[in-house]
Amino acid sequence: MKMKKALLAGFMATALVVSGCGSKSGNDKSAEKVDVTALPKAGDYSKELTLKLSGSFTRGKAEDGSYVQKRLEKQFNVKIVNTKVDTWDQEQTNLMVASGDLPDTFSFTAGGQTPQEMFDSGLTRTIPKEMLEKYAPRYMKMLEENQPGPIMNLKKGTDNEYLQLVGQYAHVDGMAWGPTLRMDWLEKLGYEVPADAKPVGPSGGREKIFFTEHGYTLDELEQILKDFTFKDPDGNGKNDTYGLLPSNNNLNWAATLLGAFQLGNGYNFMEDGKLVRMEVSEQYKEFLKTMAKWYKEGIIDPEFTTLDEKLTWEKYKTGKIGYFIAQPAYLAMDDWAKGRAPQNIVENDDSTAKVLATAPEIGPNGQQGIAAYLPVVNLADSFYVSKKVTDEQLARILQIFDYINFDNDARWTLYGEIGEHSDWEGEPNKSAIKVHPDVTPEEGDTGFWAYNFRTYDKERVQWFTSEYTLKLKDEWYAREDIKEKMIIRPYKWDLLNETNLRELDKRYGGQLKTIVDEFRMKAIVGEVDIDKEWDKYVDSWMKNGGKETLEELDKAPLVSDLLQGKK
Amino acid sequence: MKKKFSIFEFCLIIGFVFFSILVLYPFWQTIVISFSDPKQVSGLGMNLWPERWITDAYQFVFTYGNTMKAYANTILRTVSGTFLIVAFTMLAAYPLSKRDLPFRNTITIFFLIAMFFSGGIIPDYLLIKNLGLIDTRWALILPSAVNVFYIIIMRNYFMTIDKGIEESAIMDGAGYFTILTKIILPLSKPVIATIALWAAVFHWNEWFQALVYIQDDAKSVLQIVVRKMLTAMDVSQSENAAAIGAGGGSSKNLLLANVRAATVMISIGPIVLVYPFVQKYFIKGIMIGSLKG
Amino acid sequence: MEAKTVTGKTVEIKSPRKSTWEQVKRMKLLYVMLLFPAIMLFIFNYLPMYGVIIAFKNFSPGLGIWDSPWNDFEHFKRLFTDFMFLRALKNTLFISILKIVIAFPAPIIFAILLNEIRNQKFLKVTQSISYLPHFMSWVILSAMIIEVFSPQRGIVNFIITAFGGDPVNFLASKVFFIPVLLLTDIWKEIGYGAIIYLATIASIDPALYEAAEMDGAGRFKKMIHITLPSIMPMVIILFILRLGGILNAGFDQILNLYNPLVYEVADIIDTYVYRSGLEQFQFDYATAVGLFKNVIGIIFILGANAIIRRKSEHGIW
Repeated sequence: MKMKKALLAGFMATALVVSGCGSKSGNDKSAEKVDVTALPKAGDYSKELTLKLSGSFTRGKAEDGSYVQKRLEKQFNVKIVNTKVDTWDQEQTNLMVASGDLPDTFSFTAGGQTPQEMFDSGLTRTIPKEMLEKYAPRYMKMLEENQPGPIMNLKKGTDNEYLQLVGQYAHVDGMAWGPTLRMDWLEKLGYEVPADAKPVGPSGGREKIFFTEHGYTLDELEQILKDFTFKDPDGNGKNDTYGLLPSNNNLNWAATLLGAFQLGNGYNFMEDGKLVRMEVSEQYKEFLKTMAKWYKEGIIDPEFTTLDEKLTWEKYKTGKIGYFIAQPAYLAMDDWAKGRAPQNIVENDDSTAKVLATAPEIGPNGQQGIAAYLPVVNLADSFYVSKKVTDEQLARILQIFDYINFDNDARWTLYGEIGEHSDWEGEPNKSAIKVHPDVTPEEGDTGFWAYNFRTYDKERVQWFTSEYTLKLKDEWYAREDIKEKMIIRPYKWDLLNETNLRELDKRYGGQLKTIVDEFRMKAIVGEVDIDKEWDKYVDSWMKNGGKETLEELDKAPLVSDLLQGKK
Repeated sequence: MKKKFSIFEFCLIIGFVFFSILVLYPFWQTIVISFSDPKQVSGLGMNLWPERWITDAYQFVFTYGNTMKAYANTILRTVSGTFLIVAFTMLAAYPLSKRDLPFRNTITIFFLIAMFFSGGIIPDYLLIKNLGLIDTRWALILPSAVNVFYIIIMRNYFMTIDKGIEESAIMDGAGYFTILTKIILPLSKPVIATIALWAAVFHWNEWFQALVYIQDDAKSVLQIVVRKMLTAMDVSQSENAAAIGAGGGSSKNLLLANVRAATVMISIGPIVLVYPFVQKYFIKGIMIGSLKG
Repeated sequence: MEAKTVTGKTVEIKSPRKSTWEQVKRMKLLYVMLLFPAIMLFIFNYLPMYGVIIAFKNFSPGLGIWDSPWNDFEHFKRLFTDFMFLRALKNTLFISILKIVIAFPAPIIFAILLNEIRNQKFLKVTQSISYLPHFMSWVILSAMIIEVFSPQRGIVNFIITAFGGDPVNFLASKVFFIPVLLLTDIWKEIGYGAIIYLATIASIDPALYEAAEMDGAGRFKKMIHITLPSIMPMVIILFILRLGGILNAGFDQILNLYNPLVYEVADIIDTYVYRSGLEQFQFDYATAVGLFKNVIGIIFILGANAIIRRKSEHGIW
């Protein structure tokens, strides 16, 4: 028996040793100062280089020799090698990284690592500021215009080496959500519709979606919701309508309701001289109590506990809910938002429903607003350069990068040529661009979007946003004074990754989220007495990582400083 | 045969009818949705009959990507993969079913450990890569060819076969391989058929290995095409989808309820159609012929 | 060597060592047969097995498995000090054991009962329909289940209110969630799970039934004395193997049906890890949890096998 066991053990040991081959060796951490003057001038493409490029939209479907590829190769004198992996699939990218196969440029994050970690583990190289100034001036200009862009993503201990490039998110500018009410119900119940209400568009259902700058107070809203619930607004003789329908898997439904308490999901602020996170603040307690009150009154649909966001859209479509949250693109009935509430109820031509989008609700202290989609500045996303890339290659890469992403003449990399591959939807240069139906819109033989990074200035946003959405945004959701007034930002934010918050979040994130989600739901449906259980809840939150998180958060810079480019 | 009416059997039949309705419901609902107009279909409520029978969803699904090629690939994979699994299962189960096989326990433990400890997708992927099998059809059928769970099931089944039959064959001079194929196999048809069914279902539905090991679209399997359709524009709700990618004609249809239902139907459909032909192996009656005489 | 028989006589027994190797030689074809699957197993299961050490490391894809730093059992420590995890562990065990006790026997009973139907056509059609839900994913089924149990539109509550009761929000109730879980699990898997038992029943020698018939045995006697014992070996082995997955309580099903109100009873290891791991994509943490589940599974299997070995010879070995 002993011999057999020994055999087995020796067997496995051999297996372990043999299989160990094929591992990755570590990283070379030597940093060399880049001599920018030794590199070719900007625009000098005399030497042909081979580059393995990928971008934010690379899903492995780009065909070799596509239209964009050929044109770029000619313009910049390069040979492009396409990446065949779907970079949106985390498992595939992790495997690609683990087997040492990175493209020269890529926009995905491996294993949930921070940019500094990506660099430390030998995957990426830094991008010197001098090289950016020489080869990607448009990018640098964009950074300057979006403070604190120039100090984000710097390698620890330097002030001129970037770990990654960052994208401009002009498309998420402004308020992401706004509340809506069933306008036909308001009319039926005898409410006066605000005088400035006007339809979002002329046809396609948009003539049934209205929009006003008027905002209701929470008390007024409560009364409206009560009427929606008890006064049979759809006139079917049954008591089956509700005011508000939350969902059980995220807080989108409460975007503006939270804003009425000056709260933003996941954000922090000063309360009574102390730094607090939303979920343990007194204001949040007030929010919960209001929701619990509404639930007790019967104006919140009790089915919400079993419905996720998708199912709530379905329920809204059946015409039983009066209040619903909407993105401007929903109101404008953009194609990609088909099937979502509240636009889904007017999709059917026979529908007599009408929707009224209003300003965010006004809270008990006169507050009104919604959390910013991005906490500090509209810069997000990551563009990495692989460790293997030489300075010479980097110079070329940066020029291509700057051109296709920041020179708006490079529109052809996304939509081809107007007339040949695509057309303006409306007025040229002032509307969206639509690709011809027989042309492959992404990758494939056209190569559109294959190498681009997710970065959009206002002009680019126009290319893919419907005119109605743009109009809504210009007139209200992204209007300067509205943004000033309504956008809620956190008090402090670790934008530059200087604290241990990421580690703490990894460690405690799951627990804390569970504690918060459970308490919130129980509070709203009345399973716990908020006043009685609040302290215990906060205590539990603190004990399970919350305290450390707050302490670490305190070390982060002030958002107001960051916005001015200071640390 | 006496035909006696039994109350018991009558109750059973009622019960089974009721059960069959319950069990058929989701399948039926999915068929109905796949043939309906998405604007009239609701994720809530029951959809028992389409208002109008519309084949748009199927038209779309069959022209999206290379569905037909994917079908062919999947059939090829399933047939070859099932064959391999059944063969390897029998090759391992038969020797291990002999209690007097020396070192039997050790070998069994060797197999068992493999069932419980696995390195995960990264070492698996590196192995396939080092073997040069990335982007080959072998990568889809070799790693799964030996399934310890099936081996144990089949082994234990073999152990219940009357030893007398084997012993007389040995005395007649038959070799082990002959015994396995000419005696054991015919006696084990139902169990072998079950394992073949499990193996076939596994290969038919398997998508992860196909996703990770196959990059060439021409070798793509059905489940990958289905997944692509179902997740293509399944965007996280809090983000503006326009931010994620270009608009574009194809993505418009993908989120519609009827298309989603159609994709479910095209992946289940073949199994449902083929099954009645293999069902006879599981139902009593096939054995009567092989045991008598 | 010598041994004493029952009657007290002393008998000469051949030395075991010598006859072992003779056995091997005699059975060498069997070893050749074993070689094929064994080699495949070695290549595809044993070679990659080293990846298990990811559980003990702070894995970084850039550094690879070998160069990633050791994590000093960080994940395991974390598991056992996280009170949420412990709650999830309790729920996992509870739900899993409940499923084994209630849902495991269901296909067996189904197969035996189905076997009693004499009309072949009815039997075949019913059996063909019964396995259909197995092929539908929980993502699709959950939407339908939510509908059926809906407090406002669901059939179940419709029946309840018709009898004068108050509607119940089953899926939001800590009391009713688990029963619904069990019920829907049985509904989904009973048909497909019965196939292996039907196959086993199909192999029973019909002569046994005929002989029993002639002895005057009725339907139930035949069931208990012929059918049941004949499928017992299969039941036992499937049961033991099922125990290996004791800490798998049904991730897909629960993920699609649960909500924060029932976390207390329904949050299992896999759903908890999913919520905390996936967002940060902690590969190493997930591997550690997987390892933990498998080790516990092995312990249960060994335990059950040891107990069963005493009663019969139908264990894993």
